Amino acid sequence: MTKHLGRSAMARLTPVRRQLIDRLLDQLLDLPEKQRCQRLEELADRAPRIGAWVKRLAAATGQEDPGLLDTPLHDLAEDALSSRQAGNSNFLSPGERLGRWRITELVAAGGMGEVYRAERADGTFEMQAALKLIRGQSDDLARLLEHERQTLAQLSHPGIARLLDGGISGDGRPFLVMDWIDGETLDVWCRTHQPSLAEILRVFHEACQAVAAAHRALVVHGDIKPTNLKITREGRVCLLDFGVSQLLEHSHDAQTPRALTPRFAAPEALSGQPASTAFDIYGLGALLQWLTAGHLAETASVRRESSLERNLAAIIARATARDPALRYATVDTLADDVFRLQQNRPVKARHAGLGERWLLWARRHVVAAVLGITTAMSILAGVTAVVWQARMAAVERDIAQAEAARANTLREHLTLMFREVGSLSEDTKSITARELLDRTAEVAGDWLADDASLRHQVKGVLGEIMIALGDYSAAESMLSGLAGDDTPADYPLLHSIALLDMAQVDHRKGRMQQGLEAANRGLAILEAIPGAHPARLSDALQIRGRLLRDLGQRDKALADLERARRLALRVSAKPRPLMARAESNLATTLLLNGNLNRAARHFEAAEALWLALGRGDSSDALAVSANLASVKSQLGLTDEAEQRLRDVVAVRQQKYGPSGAMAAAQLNLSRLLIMRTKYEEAERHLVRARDTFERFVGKDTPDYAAAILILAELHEARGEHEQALEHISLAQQIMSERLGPAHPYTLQARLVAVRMNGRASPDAAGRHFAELASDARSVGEPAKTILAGIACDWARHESAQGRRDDARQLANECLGLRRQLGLGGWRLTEAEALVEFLRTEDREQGDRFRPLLQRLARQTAPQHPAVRWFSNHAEA
Amino acid sequence: MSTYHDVISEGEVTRLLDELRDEPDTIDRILPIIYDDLREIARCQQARYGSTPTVQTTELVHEAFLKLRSSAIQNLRSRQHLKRVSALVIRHLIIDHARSKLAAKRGSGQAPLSLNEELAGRDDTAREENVLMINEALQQLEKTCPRMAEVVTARFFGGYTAEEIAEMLDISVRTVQRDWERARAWLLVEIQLEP
Repeated sequence: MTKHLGRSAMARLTPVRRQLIDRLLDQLLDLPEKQRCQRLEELADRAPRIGAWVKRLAAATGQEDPGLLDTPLHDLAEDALSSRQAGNSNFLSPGERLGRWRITELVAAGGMGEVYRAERADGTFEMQAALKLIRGQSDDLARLLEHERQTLAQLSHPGIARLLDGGISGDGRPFLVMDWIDGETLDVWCRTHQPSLAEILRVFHEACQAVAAAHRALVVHGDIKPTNLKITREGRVCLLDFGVSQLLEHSHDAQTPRALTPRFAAPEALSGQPASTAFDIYGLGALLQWLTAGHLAETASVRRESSLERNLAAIIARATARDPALRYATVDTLADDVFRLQQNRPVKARHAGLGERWLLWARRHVVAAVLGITTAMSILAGVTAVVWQARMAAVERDIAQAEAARANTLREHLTLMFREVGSLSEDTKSITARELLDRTAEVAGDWLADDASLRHQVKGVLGEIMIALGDYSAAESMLSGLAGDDTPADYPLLHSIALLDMAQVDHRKGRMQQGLEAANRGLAILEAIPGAHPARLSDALQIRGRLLRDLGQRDKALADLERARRLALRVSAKPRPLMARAESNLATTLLLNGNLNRAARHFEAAEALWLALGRGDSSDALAVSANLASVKSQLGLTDEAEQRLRDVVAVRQQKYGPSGAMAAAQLNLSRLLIMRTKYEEAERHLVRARDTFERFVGKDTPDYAAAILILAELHEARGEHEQALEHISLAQQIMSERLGPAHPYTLQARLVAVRMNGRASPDAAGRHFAELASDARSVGEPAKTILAGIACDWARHESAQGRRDDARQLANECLGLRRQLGLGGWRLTEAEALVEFLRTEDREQGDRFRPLLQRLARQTAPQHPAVRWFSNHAEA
Repeated sequence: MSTYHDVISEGEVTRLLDELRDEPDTIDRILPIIYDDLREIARCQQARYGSTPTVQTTELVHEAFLKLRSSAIQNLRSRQHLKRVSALVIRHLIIDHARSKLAAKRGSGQAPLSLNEELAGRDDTAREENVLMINEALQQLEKTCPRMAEVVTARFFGGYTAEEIAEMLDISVRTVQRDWERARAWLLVEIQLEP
């Protein structure tokens, strides 16, 4: 009747249900035989399934024993004891010799064999050792031992008991000889010392360091557990049996089960997978749990779980994740976390309120909590990699060891904050890096209120990350004050970094002069720090060089940037992000200076460096790509440029979301699109770029003005004059104020304005063109590109006014400049066509002009304003 | 001083079991010292099977206890406690032994192969297999009713009588008998559901 209840049905019985059934069975057995049937029927009516179980069990009580249970296993017990003792019967007695070793005393006997204290018997020197006699025989072990001993002997670390010797005993049992460590095993030590949590963490951290050292020598312990750790009288930690587990594993017969301790053995170890460092990380995690279990249990009842405890729980959970891939990648990272835990206790205890929320969340999503941490960590790695590479690259080689330590602590604090903030989110998996950053920035001030230095450092790094993401407004709110005078004076380096960061923000916000002052101060402090590292100097020089460049001080800018590049190349023989940035900054300046070929060379060097660094998708690499596109475009390779820019915009959008840099790429792309008369697509990009600039750098900035300027050009190309004029006057106004009247950007804005106004009032236009050209000439090299543009436009104007000689002269100047600049493509064709068009009165003699016009239409578009102009004026 | 005094108390058998399972070293520390006594206990049980308990067994246990006390293994509180541990230790030994016997058989590469089932007769490791099966069922029982499981361990593995078990666990003999009756039913049902 209950036959259908299979084993799986039984396994599905919950403990509570089992207890209920058991209680019912107990009550049933109290009843006289006759009443039992009635009771069972009642039960079957009320709860058929449970009734069936009770009935079945009741039947089993009366069942005759099938020879299974009623006979005690005395014979098997005798068997087991005999064989066990047989294995241990031949204990060695004191004085007995084993190879070079003489037995002093039996220390322990167990499943694996016996451990003796022994001393050197050949009289070479006095030495105490632990001799481990392995139960069972193995010929392989001797061979393996010979092979492994060398590796293991090289494992020299104060926290590791060395393997000294090994061999085969008289009765064929293998033995291993190890350093004798005077002290207590960890389990005994815990019992006798009742260590505090701080002591436990210290001991654990020390154990981690020993394991990490072994891993660096490619030796896995494989069997980390309390009895394999000893605490010496001085309180040092020493790991026993390093590599022994592996040695035994390899040498044992396949059918001999490995003597692993389930509580400390990784699941994959129990299922027989070969040992890996992930084994030891699991073992360490289980050890940490074992060590702290008592503490957590005790404190939990007294007060609410502290952040320390939940961090501890998180560390344990990560180290002992079932899936090795989810564990810490290295013991060092585990040790780092524990170190942070040790350092951070006082700070973390302050975050009242958060704890509870986290706990509630964590209880609901135990697995997700662990995943969340992993996700947050990878986000951190992704977001900060660029910043950190630069910062850490600078730090690691810096003279001051203390600075590196500070940076480490800083990183730990940041990681912890990201982790905490991430864990507060309901949907950690979908939180973007940006959201994580923003939320962290929000709370950083409050959480670190008591530690000014740390707060400054954390804010500094958050500010740098914001800068890296192109969000200068957010960076400013992080950095303001930091660059001011409330920065602790005993951190000159920190102060200089803050000043230089602030200079970057000023730069982006169009406060050039202010930015230059900040950069000058930052550099002065940096140069006064003895032994300041070339990497840091190079970084600072690049910041100032960019400012100088945009202030129009091209020569000074080039000097800074050339020096920055030389310093960067001196930092290391291998590619570094710093080098790529130095190349790129120099190239950009050369590009703005109109030195296309040199610019292209340095951009290509930058691009190669980023690729070599495996960071082709990084924000900086994308900037290089965008600028290279600009160079290609000027060289006439417009299709390639357009494709590059499309890629840059797409990758940025997908990887980083809207940013100033993405908007800049969109501006360049829309310029190309306007040239191709793809107006709608251009407008889409322009509007988005304008809004992005407004959001990230604000309205009163050259970047925003640039978007407005190109929008004006778009309106002009479409013939929407009013809107064009409106836009151009705004752009012109902002640029004059921010960059001065002679800056190439301003000149470009003025050119568009003059060109447009020229249609309405031709007479004034001639004067304006002259002024503009004169201003551009006075700027010199940097304004040559724009001067060429002025000349061509002016030529068209003069031609339309019927002053063909002037026009011809201007057209020739335009062509000459463009050739000189190395420009290619439609720009060159436009100038050539103009020259040809103006060369002779005879329109029929256009055998050289027609092909040029056709080429121009191909290179731009048949409806391009320049093409249209020729058609209009040729017919006129 | 030692916290272990407090840890092991009545009703915390599960904890003791866990401890033994998780840290076989505990057993390995105890075993060398009480081997002889355990062997004697086993012999006595064999001798007295079906007869009344002898004074000798109790004395042996007492002696073992004294030895343990003097050997600095402090985690045994009383003679009764030692009996409980002994039963667990014996169970552990038997299971261990059964496992290695089966492993050895499998490892020999000679799976019992017979053309005639009847002639092949009972496998010589059938008992070990049964014991492992019972042990598995017993582990299920430990989760729901640790006391019932300990009664089984003491009686089936340790060979103790109902009276001894009652004293060990500080419960009535009737309770021991009822526990055994129910535990036996649970184990039989569970084992018989095995395919």
